[in-house]
Amino acid sequence: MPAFRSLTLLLTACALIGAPAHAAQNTEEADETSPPRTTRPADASDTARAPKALAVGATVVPGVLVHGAGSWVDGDDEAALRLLEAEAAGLGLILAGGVPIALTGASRYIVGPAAAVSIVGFGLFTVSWAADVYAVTAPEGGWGRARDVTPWIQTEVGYRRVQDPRFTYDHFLVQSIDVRAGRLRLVPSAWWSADARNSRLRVLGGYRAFGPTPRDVKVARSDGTALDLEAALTRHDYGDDGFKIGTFELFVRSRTDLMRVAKPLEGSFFELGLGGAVQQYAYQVPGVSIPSDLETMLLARFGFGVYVGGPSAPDGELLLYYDHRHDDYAAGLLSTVPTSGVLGHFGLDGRMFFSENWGLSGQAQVGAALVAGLSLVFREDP
Amino acid sequence: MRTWRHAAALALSALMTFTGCLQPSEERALRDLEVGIASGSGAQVHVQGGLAAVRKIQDGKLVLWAGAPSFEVSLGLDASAPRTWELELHNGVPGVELQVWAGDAQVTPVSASVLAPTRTKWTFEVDPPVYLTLRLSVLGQEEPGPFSFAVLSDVQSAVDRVQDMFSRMNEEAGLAFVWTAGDLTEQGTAEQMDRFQRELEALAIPMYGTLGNHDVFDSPTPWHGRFGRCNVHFRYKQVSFTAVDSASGTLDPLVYEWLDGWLEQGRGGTHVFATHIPILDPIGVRGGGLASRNEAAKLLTLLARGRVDATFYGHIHSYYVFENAGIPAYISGGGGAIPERFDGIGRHFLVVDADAAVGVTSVRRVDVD
Repeated sequence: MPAFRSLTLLLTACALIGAPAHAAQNTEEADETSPPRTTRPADASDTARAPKALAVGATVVPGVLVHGAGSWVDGDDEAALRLLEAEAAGLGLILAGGVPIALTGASRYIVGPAAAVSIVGFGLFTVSWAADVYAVTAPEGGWGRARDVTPWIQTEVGYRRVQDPRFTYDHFLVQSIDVRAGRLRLVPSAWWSADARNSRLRVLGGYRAFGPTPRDVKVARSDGTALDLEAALTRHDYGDDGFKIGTFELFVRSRTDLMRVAKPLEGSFFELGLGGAVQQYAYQVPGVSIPSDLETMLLARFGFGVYVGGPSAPDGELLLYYDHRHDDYAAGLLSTVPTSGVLGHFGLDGRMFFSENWGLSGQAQVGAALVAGLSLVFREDP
Repeated sequence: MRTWRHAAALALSALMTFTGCLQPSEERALRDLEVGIASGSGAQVHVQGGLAAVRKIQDGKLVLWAGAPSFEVSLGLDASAPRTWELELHNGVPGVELQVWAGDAQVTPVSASVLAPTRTKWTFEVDPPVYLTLRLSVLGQEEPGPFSFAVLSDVQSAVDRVQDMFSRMNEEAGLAFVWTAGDLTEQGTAEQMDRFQRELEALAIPMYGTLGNHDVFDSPTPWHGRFGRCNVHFRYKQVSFTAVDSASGTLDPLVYEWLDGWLEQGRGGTHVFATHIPILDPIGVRGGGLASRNEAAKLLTLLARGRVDATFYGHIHSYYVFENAGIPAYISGGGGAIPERFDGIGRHFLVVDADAAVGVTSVRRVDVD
């Protein structure tokens, strides 16, 4: 329990970093007529700013090391400072988690919370760089904005290809229904293999502690910032391989629209989540009764996303993320380096609605397997 | 639209890059197939099962590094090959004997000399062209019965102190060999592996097993040329020993094919399994197990079906005793690498008692510090 409390506190701290006090004011006051929050007068910015290519270059050198360099070259000192602060916070958390892990040889007593702190640190570190690149490459106002209404139901059906040389499956039918009632959310979902006895059934229940819900009427200024508490049950049946994995998990998920951090980041967002899971492994061996195993698992996820279109159709979003899960189809990242398998997987999720009801979603993940596919999505607003 | 096309191209490129990483240990598995095969000086050598690395074959001298207590070597000599041959075996079980067969006729070695407890040299004369079978074995090793072996992993940067471990092992009576789950070196360089093998000269018994993630920093790893296969299976006193390469957090599909056969061969008898990375880390939030929990469950199901009696792991520098899929499991990463703190466990190795008829009868930790 102390570990879980630590995770919760950490998440809260990060949410505070991502959404400082004056940022709310920034969000509420910054309508279309407000000038961008820069340290230079808006009318002078076009002429005073360095060429865009220079700013883009600065995101690489020295921007890879000094996050916010691109924004600074682009003339937005405040965004640059905020991104540098986020980078510093990220580095601090990486060290705060990583040093104890290194010094204690990944002691069983501290490794869970310490790993969570490190992952959050990596999240802040990488997203602060991605946000800098976004700030100098995206058009003013971004490529889109959060939708101004939250659907009460969203359902999808699609296809996924899973390339894992250690398993016989390749093709999957995926289905999910995402139903929201006020702050509550229920999401049953399933992956069915078309060429193997394999299925992954999951039910997620959620409570939106903060953020837009279907009860909200169309808001004047859309903002996808949200904090969700989630619990999920998963039953992963490997019929061809003779085992089943049952998972119960608790997860805290946040999304912060980065316009709260700085005006040039409008249209982008940062996702962060932490949690834990308990798993039961049941083995099927003919003629023998094998006791099940119980395991725990750290859950952590961070990502950088952009809105596309919106606030009404066509609208969508694109999210590049890291997920520390090692138990789904993608699982942990394999590589030829000696730390292969330690990291979780990376993914790119996209969703685009071409009307108020119909859209497409796509997914690509790289871990121990490659996962990719498309789904047809239907949604209905309240 | 151009932006979207660029993004799609970038994503596709990234995916294609990662496709090559779905089997990071494939190259090592494929190189296993080449272990024990060499030619030179009119001779062609093939160690059955790749159970020894050919260190040298030149001018009538064949030097092998054993990867198992007993094995057979096919040696084909053409007319240009020397008549007098010298076989030098490193990492051999003390008391190992050589039988040389030319068809049905046995060739008597001219001489045998023990250079060190685990190093023996034989000289024999033949009349090329001839096809020889060399059988290296220890008297009584085919007979079932109780015996002991040690387990040692994760020496890494503590190689300067490894002689303490070897001295303590040499004091243990009746150990047949050391069974390792890898990480014998810090960065897996050829120099570090050579250094470790020099240190092994002080050990009175041989060491067999697999490599760890620290042994694969260099790619391709020098392991094959020095220690032999990364994936090994042999029998000793009717007990099956299987060690597989998990140094990249996964087993290659080719290794699963081998494992199926090895488990089938060992079914009904006592079977001991080792791999470097624990299949499932008993401290789940640490995530020190295989990259995919699904693969972990698959492997454990295979081992349970194969009636494996015990699994031994390294990687985590402590000592854990637990069960997975009903199989007793031991993590022993006590070779001296940076230890896990607050666990009260220092450098150690294990002494395991086994009997083909009974199973693994005891596992005892021997603390060195």
